[in-house]
Amino acid sequence: MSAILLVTLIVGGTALLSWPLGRYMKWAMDPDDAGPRRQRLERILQRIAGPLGRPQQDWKLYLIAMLVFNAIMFVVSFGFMALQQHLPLNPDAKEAVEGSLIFNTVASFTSNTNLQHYSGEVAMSYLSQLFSLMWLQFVSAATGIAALTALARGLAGRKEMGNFFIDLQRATFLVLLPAALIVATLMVLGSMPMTLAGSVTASTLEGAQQVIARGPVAAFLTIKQLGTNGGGFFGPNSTHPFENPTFWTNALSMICIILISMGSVWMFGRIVGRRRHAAVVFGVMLVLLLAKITGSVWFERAPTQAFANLPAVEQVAGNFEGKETRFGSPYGSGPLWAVLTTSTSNGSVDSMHDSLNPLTGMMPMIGMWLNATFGGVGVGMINMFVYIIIAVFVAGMMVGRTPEYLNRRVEAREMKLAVLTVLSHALFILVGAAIFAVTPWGRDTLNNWGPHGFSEILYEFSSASANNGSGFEGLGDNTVPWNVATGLVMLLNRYIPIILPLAIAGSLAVKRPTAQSAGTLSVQDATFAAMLLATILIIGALTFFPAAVLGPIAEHLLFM
Amino acid sequence: MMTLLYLVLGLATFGVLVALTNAVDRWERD
Repeated sequence: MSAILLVTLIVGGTALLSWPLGRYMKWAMDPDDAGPRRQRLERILQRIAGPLGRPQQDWKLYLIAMLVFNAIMFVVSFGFMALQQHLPLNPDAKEAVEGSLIFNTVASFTSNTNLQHYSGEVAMSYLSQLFSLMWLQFVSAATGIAALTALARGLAGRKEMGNFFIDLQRATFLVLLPAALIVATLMVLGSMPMTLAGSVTASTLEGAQQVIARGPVAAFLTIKQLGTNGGGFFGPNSTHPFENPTFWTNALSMICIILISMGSVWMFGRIVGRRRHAAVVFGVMLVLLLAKITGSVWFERAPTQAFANLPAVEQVAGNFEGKETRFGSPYGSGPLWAVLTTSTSNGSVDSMHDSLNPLTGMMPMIGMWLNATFGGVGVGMINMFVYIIIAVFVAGMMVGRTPEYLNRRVEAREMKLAVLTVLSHALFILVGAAIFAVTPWGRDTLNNWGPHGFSEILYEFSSASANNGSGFEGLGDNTVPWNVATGLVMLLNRYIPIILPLAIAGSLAVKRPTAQSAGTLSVQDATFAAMLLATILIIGALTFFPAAVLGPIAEHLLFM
Repeated sequence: MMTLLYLVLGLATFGVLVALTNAVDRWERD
């Protein structure tokens, strides 16, 4: 009962909050009123961007600007991390970081993934944490929101999709920064540390000396959740008592994880001028999200098999392994967070995913495989747009009419680009997992054999490709092969699912609008919602079911 | 030295992505 109440309050409450947020995001990202206050604001953004902020860009120029900016961020952050031992804000004298780990970490934070093969409190100086990693948490999230804004403008029939540098600033200064300031204040009030002082040493009751790491945790944590980043200040992420001290910070964190991703859907609907269509898409995402949460909470009610043969251990309240009891019921917060963090591209954890029951552990994987049940800020809706194109095309073929989406014909070219987008995600996960499952690169880093070991490898590549960043753990992943392979997957599959959909939008934008007729497929009714849902499930099942059978399903059957 | 190589690897990946964007654009025009 408490689990149902928690799910209702977190998911339902955030869904309600997302409606006004979507309206605000539309105002922030794509203003159509020219009031004097807004004009003054735009002039400031133009001045910051300089000559780069002036030209209106078509889809290609928009993408090139995005890629060049992200490449520059990659180089700057790489430099900060490589030279951290010589730079200020290093009170604990952190040493240089190994090259492949820098590559993986910077690729991870640039791509909004935040897969962490290191422990922040051990490896990173405050300068690296704040001006390299936290900075990237803002601009990588802003890049996603900017990309969705450009896509929506294209679908609204505008050949010129705006200016990337202006959109990036709008997303950073008008959406993410104000939200982060509010949430960070609430987090500090909820007992989260926020200091630039170094670690402290305490004497334990046994007389031993214990070094306790601390730092600017609240600032880091806030954008980590709001920007669907997920990278923790501390190695244990949101299981750490300083990064998530109480039930209330835990609940607020969960709201932040899905809030802007939900708001992005409403913003999209407002920019394309189809709010009912956005409501249908939101409904489909919500149904899938609730299905995963239900499965996750249900499967976690069973006791863990890890304790099954231990004497004097009676398991009567679900799977307690890897859970933080300060967050409540073991089948409440832990599985709910696991689904929310993997349905969006967040990836932070408040319980150990490796310890989830096998079928519970499959739910986060499904979230990352579909990657569109709200998804990352901005990019989740872009991923859903790809499924929409496929659904519209298949529906058009089924009824023998030319497929149309928002009054533009969807033809073979758009369909090919959509299929390539879906295939690239599957390719990176399945091929990567297959290679690492049969070579020492993966096998030698496993702590578990059999289906569970395969699940760990599959999860790692799913997390990298979906730009999620959570880890199944139990995997010794700070090795050169893991760092390089997942680093490349994160970078490539961050931008390919932005490049190809924006090309689709660019292609649709230049087409002549078709007249609405009785034969036009409506994209804002229950029939379309069912079609979209079926498309997502069929593509997901056909692509990933065999891998799921080898991993979590086989493990579940072993215990029966 | 190895650290520099990893920096080059990252930049090369961005180069591939820019090339992909150009290739899709050319394909659109054809």
